[in-house]
Amino acid sequence: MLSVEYLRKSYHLRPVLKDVTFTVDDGGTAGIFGVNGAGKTTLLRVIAKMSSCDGGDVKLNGNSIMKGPAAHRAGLLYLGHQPNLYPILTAEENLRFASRLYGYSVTEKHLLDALEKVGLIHQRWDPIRYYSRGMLQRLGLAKALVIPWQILLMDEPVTGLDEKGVELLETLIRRWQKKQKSLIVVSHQRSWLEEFSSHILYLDNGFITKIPPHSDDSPSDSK
Amino acid sequence: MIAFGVSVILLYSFSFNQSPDTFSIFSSGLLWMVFLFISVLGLHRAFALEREFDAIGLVLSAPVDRSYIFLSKWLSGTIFLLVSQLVIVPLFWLFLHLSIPENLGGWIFLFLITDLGILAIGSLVSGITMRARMGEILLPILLFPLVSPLLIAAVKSTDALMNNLEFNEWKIWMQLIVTFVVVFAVTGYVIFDYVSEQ
Repeated sequence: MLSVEYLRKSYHLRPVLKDVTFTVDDGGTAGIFGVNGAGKTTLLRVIAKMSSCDGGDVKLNGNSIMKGPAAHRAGLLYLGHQPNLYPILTAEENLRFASRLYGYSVTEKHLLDALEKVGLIHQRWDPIRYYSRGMLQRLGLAKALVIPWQILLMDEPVTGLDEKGVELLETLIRRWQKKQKSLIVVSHQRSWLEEFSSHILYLDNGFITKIPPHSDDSPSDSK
Repeated sequence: MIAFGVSVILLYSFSFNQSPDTFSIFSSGLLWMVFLFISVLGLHRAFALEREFDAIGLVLSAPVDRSYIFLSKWLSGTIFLLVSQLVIVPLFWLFLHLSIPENLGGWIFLFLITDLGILAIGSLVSGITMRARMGEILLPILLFPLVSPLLIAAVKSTDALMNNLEFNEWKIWMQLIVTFVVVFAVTGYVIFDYVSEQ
């Protein structure tokens, strides 16, 4: 279980996150939406401890990510806007390096299966600096297939994906949900989030609100 | 880095028309100036790969102690600088008609310990300026004042080695270098977790 407790973050004295509090149970999927500049990416980056916070805590299975050792982040995987991979390395090299960072030695078969699944098997020897935006997004999904994780943070995962890529993403999300893995997905499209999220959170003006699914009284899709 | 260092040595050989005895008076300072510039070149590249595609995000979000990032940049940078020096220094002696010193072990040790100091400071400053908007300009601005005492000590120590002075006469400079290495290595190791976060 991931619990976010009274998270606060400011940029140049401008508060972006104000006492943000929510939990994601094992097997749960939290969909977060909000307008541009609401702080959705900041929220995910703070949870992944890639950005500092001014206060509050994030706990994974009761272990503090903000104040504890690096090992507390072991079950957490972040897929952001940027690929978070090395451009001079190939897809294979990046995935091997990434899995080793997480203390896992991926087998050749597992690696190839993952690349096959995301449709990058024929480009696996190219340095990823030559990949398109959509290919990089697919490589991010391959990263989630080779690294063992308990909770996956995804920031706008459909960006750059073609129709088949979006279908692949949705198939993988459902597969992970069946395996009782937890997800936090950020998107501008509330209707898309409602198709698979167990609960929807709306981030606005630094505050987070739980929105009943398919409610007509709630804020609609952000443009 | 090596190409830049060799180019500077060549310029020196054409610019200075002094006898070796006269030139040896200020050769230490010139030598360490070359090393400072090539270390800045190296430090500019230290986090260049991590800046592209936000690759540093992969390492930061992984369950890895971030102090290891500092350690890896520190030690790999030291190795690169040391290898460059092993190529540049013989050419320095050759082109400027200086005699090869007898105490080569002392020279290598001095280079190693000073490089550790320069790269400890440099790796920490590189980490701080990695995400700054004008990081490439900020790096030398922050680096030069911090390494100046270290370089002064290195120049004095090099002078002493060239003149075959007793160690007791110049051990204070070596103590200063070692202090810098220890202080900045420990500081970098301890605070890198904080400086690497956005």
